[in-house]
Amino acid sequence: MVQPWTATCMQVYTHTVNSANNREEAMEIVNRSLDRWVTLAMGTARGGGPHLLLYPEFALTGFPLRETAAEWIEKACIEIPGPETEKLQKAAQELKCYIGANSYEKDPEWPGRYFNCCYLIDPSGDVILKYRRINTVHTASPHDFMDAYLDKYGLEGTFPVAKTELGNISMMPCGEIMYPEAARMFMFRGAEVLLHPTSDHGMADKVAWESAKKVRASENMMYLISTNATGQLGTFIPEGQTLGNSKIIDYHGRILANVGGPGESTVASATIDVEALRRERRIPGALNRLLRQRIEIYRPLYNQTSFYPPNAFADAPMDSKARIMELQEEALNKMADAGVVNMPKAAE
Amino acid sequence: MILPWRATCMQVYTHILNRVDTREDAMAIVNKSLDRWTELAKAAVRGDEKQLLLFPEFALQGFPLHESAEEWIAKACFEIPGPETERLQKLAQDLGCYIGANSYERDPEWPGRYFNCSYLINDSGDVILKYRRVNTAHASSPHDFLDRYLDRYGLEGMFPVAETPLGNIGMMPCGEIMFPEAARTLAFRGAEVILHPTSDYGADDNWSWQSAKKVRASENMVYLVSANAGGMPEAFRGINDIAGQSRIFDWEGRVLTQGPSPGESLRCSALIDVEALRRVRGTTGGFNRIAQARPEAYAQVYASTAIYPVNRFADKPMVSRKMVKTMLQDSLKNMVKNKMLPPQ
Repeated sequence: MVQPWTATCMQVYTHTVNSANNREEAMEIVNRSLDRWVTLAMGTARGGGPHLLLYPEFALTGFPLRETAAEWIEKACIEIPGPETEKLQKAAQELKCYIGANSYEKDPEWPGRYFNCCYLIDPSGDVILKYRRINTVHTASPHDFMDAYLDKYGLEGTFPVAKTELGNISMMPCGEIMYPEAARMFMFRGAEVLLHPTSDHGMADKVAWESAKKVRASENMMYLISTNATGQLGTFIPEGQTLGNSKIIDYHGRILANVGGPGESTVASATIDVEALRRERRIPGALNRLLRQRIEIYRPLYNQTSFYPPNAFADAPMDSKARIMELQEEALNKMADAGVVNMPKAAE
Repeated sequence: MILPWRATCMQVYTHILNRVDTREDAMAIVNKSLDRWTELAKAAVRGDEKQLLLFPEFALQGFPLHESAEEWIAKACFEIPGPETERLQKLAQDLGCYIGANSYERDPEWPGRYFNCSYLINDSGDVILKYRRVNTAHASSPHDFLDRYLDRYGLEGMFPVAETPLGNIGMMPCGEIMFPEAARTLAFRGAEVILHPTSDYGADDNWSWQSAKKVRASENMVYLVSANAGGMPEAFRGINDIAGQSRIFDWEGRVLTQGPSPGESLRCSALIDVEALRRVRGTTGGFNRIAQARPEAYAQVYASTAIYPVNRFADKPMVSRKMVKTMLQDSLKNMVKNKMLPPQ
């Protein structure tokens, strides 16, 4: 029996490290952010039963802009767990709460590579879940060396679901919301709550991005906790590109709480009742979306479709964004071969 | 080069067949509906651009309620193409337009079975696409005899995409909007326009159903034309439980136009510019959601997950809705096995 618990979106500013000249300067920024995060956590998770705090995507550093992979790893990436996450681990332990976050990660096991990594810390201060983003835009992805990655971690490690006293929890960041298969994986593997650290616009429904948050929650019948950053400070990116409005959505896509706009805020906070979700998942009515999954019929599609080249960086890690543009051209050619894009003559 | 063409949602009333007992009485209702459809089609097709008219899901019949499969087939289902669709075929030919619709179908090749069938008629009056709904709630589905169905039709026939002078068109009805794989399949197979004949609430966003229409359009970078019925005047339930508000979306999920709620209307009509869509699909960059998709990463989980029982009616057709209940019990057990539910 899972007792109802409280989820809070920790909507914070992202102080980017792009302008830092070296790791020391970058980590100074990171540590200042962490201090603020801990202060906010202490103001939020005071008593009142189990609590989970979720911070936005890459909110300690921002994302690589002009930096090469090697430079970004050297300057900005952290090990998880590692010295930088220790402050969060300690906070979780002291406050007896769960803390979810997302950071660019380096891993001695994969030299030269970096990951966009979601992670969950439990009240003992242990990192109990790590998920590395697959649908990346200009950064490295496990799909770039998929065979080796799956060999090493299996499906359990590639699409992790943490069984906790709060229910079964998974994580998935930002733009993966636009790829239905991403959330699907976690639902198929048992997730009841999906944590979505994000760094998106948050307000306008551009490319149906905000609608997609509702739809992922409903089509997979899970709670979705989506914490957005408010501003990427210290770069050429306008502050208004990332406008907060963090939200918590129930398993029918209803908004339980939202901030309503930008600014540092912990207003998006709601009670998560996993037992209620479990009861609804058992009802055999027409609206039980999980019960009516006819998965077999779609297997050939996923076995046969391939556009963006997998395993493109199997032997050597991705070094710069320029290589990714080449891969995107390759994806377009494969789409044209498959008849999925009829390239207009002018573009040829 | 495809010139922009006009899509119109034919938001009509659905006159149900559940209140009559014989095929004769049922077909009298169907023909009366077709009379009205003809009038409306003539009013809708005007101007110089090429046109496609889309009618709502099962809008000539309603859906089986108390009827067994056998009774529903005898009373309400028709062949596609067949005598009932002939009027629509002739209409498409006379008006020089495309017509999309959805009907409960019977097929002499599959005795005892019926399908929820979406179909597209071209401007020569030929049925050029038939898609049979996979994600059904209480009705039979090709997934119930998947191996035989796939053997017979292949992927091309199971998930058809029609290459037409209007672009590549796929179809998918109503509740399949809540299953992302349904639209995904059509997009991965080349669809640029998805026709969505539906019979849903239309007005409110219960279960994020309306949001899902936007999201399917955007995540797959397709135009989505969603024609909903304007009401069910003879329904046993609220006649406005199906309440119109047909919509047409572009590939970013933007609403191009929408019809009133509820009621009969041709107001939901917009130009579809497939060349514009092709240009966007042909660009590199973070927002090309098809070029960036990495389906290989997910194949293993799809291959190793099973929930709703497959091939359960391989040898014998489903006879009544009651049989679905036992299957749902098995489905619940599979969910427990997959740890999607704790054991009880």
